[in-house]
Amino acid sequence: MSISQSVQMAASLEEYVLKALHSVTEGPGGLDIVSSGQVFDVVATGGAVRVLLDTDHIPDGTEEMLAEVITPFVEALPGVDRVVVKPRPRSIAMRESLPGITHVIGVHSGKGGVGKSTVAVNLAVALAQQGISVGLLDADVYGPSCPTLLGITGRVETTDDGEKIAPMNRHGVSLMSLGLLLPEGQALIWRGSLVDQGLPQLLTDVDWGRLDLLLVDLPPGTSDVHLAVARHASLSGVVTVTSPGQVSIDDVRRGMEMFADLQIPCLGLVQNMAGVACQKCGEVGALFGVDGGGDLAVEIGVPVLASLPFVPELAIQSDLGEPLVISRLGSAASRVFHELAGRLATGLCIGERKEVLS
Amino acid sequence: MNQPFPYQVEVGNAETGVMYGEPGSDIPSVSDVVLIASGKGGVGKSMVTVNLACALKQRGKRVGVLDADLYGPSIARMLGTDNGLEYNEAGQVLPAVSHGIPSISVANILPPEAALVWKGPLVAQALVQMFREVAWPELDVLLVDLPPGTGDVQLTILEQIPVTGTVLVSTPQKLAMADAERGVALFHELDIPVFGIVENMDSYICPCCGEKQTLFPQGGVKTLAEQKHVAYLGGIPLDPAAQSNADNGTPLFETHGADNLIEAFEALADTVEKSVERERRLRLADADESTRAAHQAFWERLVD
Repeated sequence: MSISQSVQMAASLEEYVLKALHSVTEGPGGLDIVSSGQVFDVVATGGAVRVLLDTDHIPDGTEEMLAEVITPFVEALPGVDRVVVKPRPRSIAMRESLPGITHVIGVHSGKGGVGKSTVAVNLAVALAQQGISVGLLDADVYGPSCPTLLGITGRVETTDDGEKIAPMNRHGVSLMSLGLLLPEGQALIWRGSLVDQGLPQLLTDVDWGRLDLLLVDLPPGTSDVHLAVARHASLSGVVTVTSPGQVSIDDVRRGMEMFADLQIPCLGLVQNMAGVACQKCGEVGALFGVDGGGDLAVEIGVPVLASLPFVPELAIQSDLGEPLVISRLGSAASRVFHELAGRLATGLCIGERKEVLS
Repeated sequence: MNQPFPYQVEVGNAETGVMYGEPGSDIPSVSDVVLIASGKGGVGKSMVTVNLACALKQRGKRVGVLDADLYGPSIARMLGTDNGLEYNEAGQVLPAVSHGIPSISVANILPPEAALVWKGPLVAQALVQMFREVAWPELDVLLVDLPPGTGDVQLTILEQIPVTGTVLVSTPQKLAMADAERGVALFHELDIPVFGIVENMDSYICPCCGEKQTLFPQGGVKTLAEQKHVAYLGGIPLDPAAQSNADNGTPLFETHGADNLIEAFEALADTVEKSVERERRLRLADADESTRAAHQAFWERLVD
């Protein structure tokens, strides 16, 4: 089956389910649940159907009852494999924007160790090289990596007036990370409730100055930290990083679902570690599976923004604190990051960009 | 503003009244709980968990796997278990069984497109249920695949579940080792035995010519283990063939041609088995009144 065919089928399934839901009424002679606005929309991906409820139009406390009615009803329809009933996407951002910051973008992945921080750091530096004022917030509270990747050591200090924390600066990027507050080797043992208190401070108590773009390097998974960031910064979107293996793709899918629920758009996928070249025979081995990111992108309709191979010596250099867009300006990998930066900046209509000889 | 963040360690849990060092009661059918932990994500915890389970099973141990990574569950795919779980007559959830290993994972319960965004208290509840309300068969060892980091999941397990020991997994990258160091600090602080550190992805095996080459600088994990006074449990090479098998739900031990990986896991299983035995002996000695009396007498004599 071609992609356009499957997209068409999904669209007709959505229409069909919505139409069928018109026959569910609140009681004899009552309005049906679609006309009354209780059902907000139906979204189908393959045979998996999501029915989105609008809680504004549902009497308090009856949401679960309604879901219990809808689920078996929709499950019984032909062409439906699975049903999920949930509230419609809604932003949980508590403030419109952060003062002085035009856009906040999250860098996210479902699985750990796929190279989120490496992508975030190189993307930030590439953006800075293109003349965009950019900040990087390392929100991975349990394993902050950005200071190491940028080659920053030491501790942050307060600004001259003592009111705020001054971020560290390297390669034109302002960085704030918990790694700059903690002694090395000490474990940060934070309960979710502490994340709720501590994380907002990283956004508001840091003297970011004026920024076109603040990148937030999120931890893996779908946790308290993600909710806290979505609550305290109005995210313009997320860039999702994945390795090509199915195990990683599974987790990415879950992560994307969470951001969809929070009305935060996914700007695209970055596929990392898409193979490694043998130093003896040159054969490129698929390190963590083959092009799972490409398949996922087609399935859910987001672009693949970049695809990067695994280059051992670059990993070593990252460990030494030299981002590859600095140490290998002009290499294929650095061009990939500059293209990614360019796409992102153009997509968000940010500032006047300089052409960089990447 | 000297201390802008509340980064003290929270000791114990006011709500449940359970403190570290006084973990909850034993899980009736499980003899020993062993955690597989890492600071950083993506270093191969789940891969190590699954293959260690297979290696222990080959040695005749009764072993189960609990996937405590609620936000990024991988065990179900790696063991090839299905969505959906069955119940026994008493209404208890039965673990999924594949390759002769009972396991449980959030991925067995949730459809793949559902995200799990749980706040701390819900995490605690779900985890304890996975340990205590699942009808585990009689097990010698229950391996627990932890999520990366030092957050709610780790704290809840350490508070509520009696843990025999931990195996840490790290790759030779500096970043992974920095996080592993944090992991060691956590377990040492809470007095949980660390059986040792496994060095995953210490080399890469080319699928074409079989050439074994290093991906990262060597020796870092060994040095870290020495510095922290924990055992170095050996290296495991990265094999693309094993990766695609993991994606398909076939553990290494069911495939052929991955001999050096299998050797590595047999050695690891041996260490884990011995460490668990040692802890078990210590526990028995602790429980024995005459030994305790002898200990006390020894210390009193020493004081005199």
